[in-house]
Amino acid sequence: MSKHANVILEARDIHKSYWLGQIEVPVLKGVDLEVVEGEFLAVVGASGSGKSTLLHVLGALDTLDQGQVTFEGVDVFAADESYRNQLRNRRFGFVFQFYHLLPELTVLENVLMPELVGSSVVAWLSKADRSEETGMALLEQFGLAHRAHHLPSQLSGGERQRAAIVRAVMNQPVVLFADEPTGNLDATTGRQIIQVLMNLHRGGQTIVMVTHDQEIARTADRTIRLTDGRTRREG
Amino acid sequence: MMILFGIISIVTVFMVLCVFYMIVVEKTRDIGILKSIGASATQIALVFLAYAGVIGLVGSLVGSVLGWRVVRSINEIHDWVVQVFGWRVWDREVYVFDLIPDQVKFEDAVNIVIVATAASVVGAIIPAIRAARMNPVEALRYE
Repeated sequence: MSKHANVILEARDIHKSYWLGQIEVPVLKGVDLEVVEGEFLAVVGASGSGKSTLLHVLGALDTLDQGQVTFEGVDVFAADESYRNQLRNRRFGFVFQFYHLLPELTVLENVLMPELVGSSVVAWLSKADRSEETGMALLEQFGLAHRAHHLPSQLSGGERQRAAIVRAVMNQPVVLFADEPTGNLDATTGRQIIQVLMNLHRGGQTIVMVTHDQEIARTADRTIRLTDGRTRREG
Repeated sequence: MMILFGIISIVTVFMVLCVFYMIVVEKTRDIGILKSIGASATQIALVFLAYAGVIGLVGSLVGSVLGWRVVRSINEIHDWVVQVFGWRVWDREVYVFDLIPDQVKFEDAVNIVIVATAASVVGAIIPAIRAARMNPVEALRYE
């Protein structure tokens, strides 16, 4: 298979601006990007360079002003909203800097949430037990089985981020997006989280990670720098 | 009676709207989380409408049982108020009846439960639409 055939996610000439009242603030000014199946891609750049915005657009979490994002040959923003919902539920997984776990739910319930959201009530009732087993097995794999019935507020930062990773991979996504996954953690815990992502990558997981930390970016297969709203390949 | 019931219903709708507007604001980040894992606008709206429906149903059922109990004992309560505080609200010389009517029509109670539940759901429609239309990224950044 040629390299081009392995490109699963592609961004072409992405433009995105924010509005501060009447003032337009351009963030992305023509970003081009390709994500190859199975690779670990790091997007680096200074604070405010638009890294997170790019990740949100690639992950269909946010809209774009101009350009095209293609996933497995489908123009993501030309398709309807339900397609993007399905992408976020079944094909993409997200890990955020601030974990973003639902505070009233236990770790296991958080992990099962993508499965619940993607199912009808009838389908969920028929597979709830099986999903719970899968969730527990994943928590076991990530060393969180003993925390399954705890609330996120009872967990340490590293445990919360691991729980967020388990939730992100629950539906076996094609691409895992990580937005500054170590940004809210101390150095040691941050390294552990990167190790978790590396292990997932070794298992074949495609990962797109945004970070401002050059050392963390070096763990990726390929790094892209975002400067002045445009991408530049580093290695 | 119908006018009074109508006014109460309108007030209920408005109060539910205010309360649910605040709930949606408070839950903005959670809405963002649900959208980030693929929840559709319809699913988000249904969460709030179902919540309003359950609150309306449970509240009106509890209210109906308590109301039924109070109405059935209204004359005893009245006698107790007269005895303890000396307040005679139901003056037998003014009204036609000796006793305060204390019968509850089951059909009226059922209608009240239905209308109260519906009023609760109607009051939650605008906040639910607002929640459904939220941009996931803006919702996740909300503090």
